[in-house]
Parts: sequence; C-alpha cells; structure tokens
Amino acid sequence: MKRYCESLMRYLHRLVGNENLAEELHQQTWLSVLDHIEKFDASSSAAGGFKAWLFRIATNKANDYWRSSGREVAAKRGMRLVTPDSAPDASQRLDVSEQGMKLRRAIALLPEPQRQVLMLRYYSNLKFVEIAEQLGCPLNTALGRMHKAMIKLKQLMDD
Amino acid sequence: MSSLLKQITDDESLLMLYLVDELPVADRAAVDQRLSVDPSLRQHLDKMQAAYASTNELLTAGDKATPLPVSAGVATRRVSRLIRQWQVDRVVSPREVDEARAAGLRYPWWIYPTSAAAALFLAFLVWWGHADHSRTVQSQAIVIEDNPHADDDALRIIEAFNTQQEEHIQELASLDAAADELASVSQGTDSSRDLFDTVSYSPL
Repeated sequence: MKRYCESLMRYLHRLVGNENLAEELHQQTWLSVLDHIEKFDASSSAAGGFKAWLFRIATNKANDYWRSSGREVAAKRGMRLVTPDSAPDASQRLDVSEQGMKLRRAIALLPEPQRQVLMLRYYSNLKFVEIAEQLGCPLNTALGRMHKAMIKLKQLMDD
Repeated sequence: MSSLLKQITDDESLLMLYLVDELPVADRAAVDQRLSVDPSLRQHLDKMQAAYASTNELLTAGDKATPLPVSAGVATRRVSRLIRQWQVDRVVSPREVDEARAAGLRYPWWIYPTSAAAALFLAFLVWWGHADHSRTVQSQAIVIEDNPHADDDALRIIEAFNTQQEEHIQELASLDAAADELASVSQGTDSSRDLFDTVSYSPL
C-alpha cells in the first residue's frame, strides 16, 4: 500500500480536483481492492498487473462519482469540470504557488477523456496499451487523447 | 510482441509510441526507417518529444508545489485502520451473506437445499397420512380396547365403523386379486387396466 499510496492519491486528486473527495475515493479504492481481491489474477497475462488493476478501480470510483453527481454528461461535452460547487473552499489546503494553482485550473479545463489518459499515464506509468484497455478505448484513441492533452495543457499554461 | 501498426492510424499516435519506447522491435525498426528518409516526420517527432517533456516537467513541478490532501503517512494509517475494521467486520458479519451476495443469491446458500428437504419431508408426511388406512383402523381398534369405560352407545358406533372399515379393506383386497387375474389373462393390455379401473371404482 505504501508503494502506491502517494501516486494514487495524487492521481485521484488531479482527477476529481477536490481534496476531501480524493481522500475518500482513495479509501474506497483500497476497500474495493480488499472486497474483490479474489478476482485479481496475479498470474494472468492481463496488462499491468496489480498496479493497473489498482488504478482501474480508482478510475472507476472517480467515474462512479461523476456519474452519480450528474457531471459525466458535462465532461463528455468538454465543459469545465470545476464548477462553483466544487471549487476549493477555505477549509481546504491551498496550492502554495501561483504556478500550482494555474496548473490545477489548466488540468480542470482539460476534457475528461484527455485528462484521464494524461493523469493515468503520468501517475501510474502504465503503458498506453494497458491504459487503452483500462479505459475501454482503442489504442489509437488513447494515444490521440494523450497528444491533444499535452498540447492543450501547454497552451493553457502559456496563456 | 505482436505488431501494433495495424492499430495505429495516424503519425501522432505512432510517434507517441515510438517516443515512449513502447513499440515492438520490428515496428520500431520500421519507424526508424521512415524517420531516416522523412525530415518532416523527424521534426514532428522532435516537437512531440518537447511537448512530452514539458508536460512531465509541469506535472512534476505542480506536484512539488501542491501538497497532498493528507500526507502519505496519514493516508496510509487511515487506510490501515479501514483495513483492520474491514477484517473485523468480516469476522462479525456472517460470511455466508457475502458469499451468497457474490453468487447472486438472496439468502445464504444452505437455505436452499434445507428448504427443498423440508418441503419433501412435508410432502411425505401428507402422503403417509392419507395412504395408510389399515393403521388407522388398528389405532381405532386399540382405542376401544384401551377404553373399557367408554359409553356403550359410543362403543357401538365405533365398533360399527371399525367393522365397516374392515369390510372395505377386504373388498379392496378382493378387487386387487381380481385385477391381477384379469391382467394375467389379457396379457397386461390397456383394456384390462381400464376394466380394473371400472371394477375398483364402482360404488360399493
């Protein structure tokens, strides 16, 4: 657990943009791992092994949250995901630098599919073949999303 | 590793895989070949490499500038507490419920064969209660023998009932014998069976 704790927390934090929610999803992810550990086949040739399985569960938890809060439709349309309801409030810890806040806003402005691929690649370091399988999209699509995410993020940071 | 080229439909995707060294050896050699003869493709790769490096730097710097919601140690301890609670819950709560839920069953698995056995037993009791007349007659006779002080009228009624039962049983026995005889004569055809039914169910 210690091996994956930090990267998983950061991944969820980047994905949902809310600190409390990220921690809650982090805990739910590990509980889900325990509940379904018998389904994990360490010997199978399925992509990525335990890390891929862990991040798959975390991604599903985040998607479940978005679905239940009715924001998945908005995400698919590429709209802003950080609404006033989920904006950081005074009780949350603030980014200590302007650059950090700018990055946070830029990531939040990425369309959900692009953000998922980018965050999954950066924090889990899974191969693109594994990422595509996990997200249920063709390999070409996952690569295209990654490329677009990189370009858009750079544009947003340069603005 | 099998070729991935069939899954790639554009140069950006191909170069991305090349950049992160996730192409099979044969595919990488093919891209090397193309890069050696296509300067524009080489420029495209260089731009993509710069964008990829820039993205990684941004995210790394952003993570350094942004503390985790809780420290890794705190998060680990909290999850550890959850895991311990999960283990306690599994000891306290019936595991059968979890297994039944996992199997898609509404109730614990052992309820189903137990219910089936109980239903069969009940059906047997009902059948046994209706089928054994001779024992009933005998038990009724025993009632009379064990109750010498019963009212005379009641005794007479019971005796008459017992006599009637015995006669009925004897008639059924004789009908059985007749049916057997008929069956042996007519070589067990349907007509003899029908004849038996006619004889046995005629009003007494």
